[in-house]
Amino acid sequence: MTLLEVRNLGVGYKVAGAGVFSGPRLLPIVHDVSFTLEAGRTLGVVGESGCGKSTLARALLRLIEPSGGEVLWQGQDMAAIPDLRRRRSEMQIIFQDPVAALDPRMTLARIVSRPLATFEPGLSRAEAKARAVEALEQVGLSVDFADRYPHELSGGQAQRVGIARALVGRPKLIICDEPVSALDVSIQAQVINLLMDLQERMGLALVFISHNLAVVRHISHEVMVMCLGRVVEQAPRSEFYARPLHPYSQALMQAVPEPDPRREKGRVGTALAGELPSVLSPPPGCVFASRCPKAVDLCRRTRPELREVAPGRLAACHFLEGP
Amino acid sequence: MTDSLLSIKDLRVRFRLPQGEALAVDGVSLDVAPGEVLGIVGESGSGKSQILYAMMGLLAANGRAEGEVLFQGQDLLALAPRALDHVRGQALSMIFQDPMTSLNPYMRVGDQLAEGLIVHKGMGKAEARAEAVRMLDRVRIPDAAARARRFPHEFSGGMRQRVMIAMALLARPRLLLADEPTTALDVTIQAQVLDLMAELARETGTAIILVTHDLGVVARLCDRVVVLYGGRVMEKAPAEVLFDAPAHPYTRGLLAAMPRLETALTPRLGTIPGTPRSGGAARGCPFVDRCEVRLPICATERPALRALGTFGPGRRSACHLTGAAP
Repeated sequence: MTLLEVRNLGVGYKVAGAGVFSGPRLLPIVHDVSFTLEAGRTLGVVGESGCGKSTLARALLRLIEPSGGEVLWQGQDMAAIPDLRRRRSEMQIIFQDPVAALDPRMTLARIVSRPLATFEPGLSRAEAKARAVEALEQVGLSVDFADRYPHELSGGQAQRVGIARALVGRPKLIICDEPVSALDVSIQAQVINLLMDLQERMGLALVFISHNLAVVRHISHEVMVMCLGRVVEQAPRSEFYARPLHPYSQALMQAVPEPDPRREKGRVGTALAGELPSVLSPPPGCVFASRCPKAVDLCRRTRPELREVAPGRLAACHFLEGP
Repeated sequence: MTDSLLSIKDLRVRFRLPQGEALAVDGVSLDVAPGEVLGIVGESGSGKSQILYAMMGLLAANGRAEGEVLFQGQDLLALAPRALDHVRGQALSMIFQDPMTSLNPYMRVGDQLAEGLIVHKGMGKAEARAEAVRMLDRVRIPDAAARARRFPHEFSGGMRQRVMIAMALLARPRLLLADEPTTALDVTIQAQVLDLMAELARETGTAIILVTHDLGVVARLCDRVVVLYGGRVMEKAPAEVLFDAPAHPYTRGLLAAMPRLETALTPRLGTIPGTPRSGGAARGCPFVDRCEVRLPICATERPALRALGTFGPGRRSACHLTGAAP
């Protein structure tokens, strides 16, 4: 069942105009993102800071108003859903900094049950608390956590509470915005496994946003690589990791240090030179041209379209053959 | 070891807290040879950064270090502040995770670099500035002469970290302490900075202690590795050996928990139950609560850091089980 269908989504932020007297202008951050997501599946979105991945996450739930394109939720245009606030019980989000996302003055039971005040206003206090306890148990926190406060939690436990709060409204989709980046390695693995277990048990769809290609490989069915607000490659997981096609995807893959000294020592000296161009003044051509080892004049002048270069695989590069 | 540049013996770092005393580093010993890159790996609360702070005399006011830190034959813990200042300016440098908070926002980058040379090497202003520009160029800051006149906020994160490295290496130190130097950077920028550190270490013969939570970073840069947990050394080994055949249950757990790009996918990642402990244990092995192969003895008796016969010398593990297994 297709839960989420995104067509040519664009998002921009208002910034001050160029001159003293010019009005605010719209600075585009995310361009032309399209994908579909089925129940029980995970889309991994990878990119470096400033690539627009968090902005995309928020625009998918209309926490930021998109500037173009469409988001369909179970076939219905999100912009036209009446009472979207209540329908958001079906689509939830969890954040990178788990402690900052929890109100320090509330008990965990109140934090977790709070969304129910919007989603199911008819519930009694006792019922809401029972639902919170149930959600806490789903993430592996026993009932005696219900009356504790956020400062008593470790980072990993706080992220579990964030997940419990997302689960309490019985969602179909959870958007995970860098959910494990701030956690220790051993805790990161626990949280990733938990998300995969929940998906298996409840048929959840996940959009998993991360800068870490290895984490995304583990959890995703499909992968989308973003660079400077644009999708440069989109492919099923196993095909992508077996052979990334876009030079930017290849560079990212090269840059990830793996826990294997023989492989790593051989790669010293292979880092890309140069830095990403600024979002404020994106280049006219390919977003990766300034750092791409294969770039020619054409790449700097003309932006390559995202197109199908092999069955089921999209990439935006002038030097990839079509199917 | 007689040829070591640095020799830490039984280092303990304690903090006075309202609720009593906390032991952050609990009897750590290690050596660094000239030109060697040593990795110290651990999760939060393992005490890995406090080892560096203790060496540099930078512990918080409620912290106290005991033991011996012999650097070029001098015990850094016993030095008077002025004498320590001299060592820090000349032979020992440190870089931190967040370059922005380590740079003075009101001072031009070139002047910040030159300052150290003027104070510690007695150079004239013009000479020091020229040297600063040479070093910025060396760490591949584009258009170094013009950049030297800019302020830190005009640099990107990766460039700031390269400025920090330039600053740390200007005095041509014998030992560079790096505390999570690439954690705040994007992967492609991290790769640049790691390349730069590897290259400079090789060319100048500067030894490095790299503190990190990322085993991948260790694999790329380090010759030897120390694995820390609860303020104690769990395992010590040459990098290849540690990754090929981790001996300690904690090291094995950490490696299994890392998602990877190139190995076959498993349905789930390996996990270590529980959460990392902060500071040392009163009795027994600090890892005992989270260890899946623990014995009754692990809760009561602290395992010594024993040499393992296999894989040559320099390989040690602090576990009642290792060595006993076939």
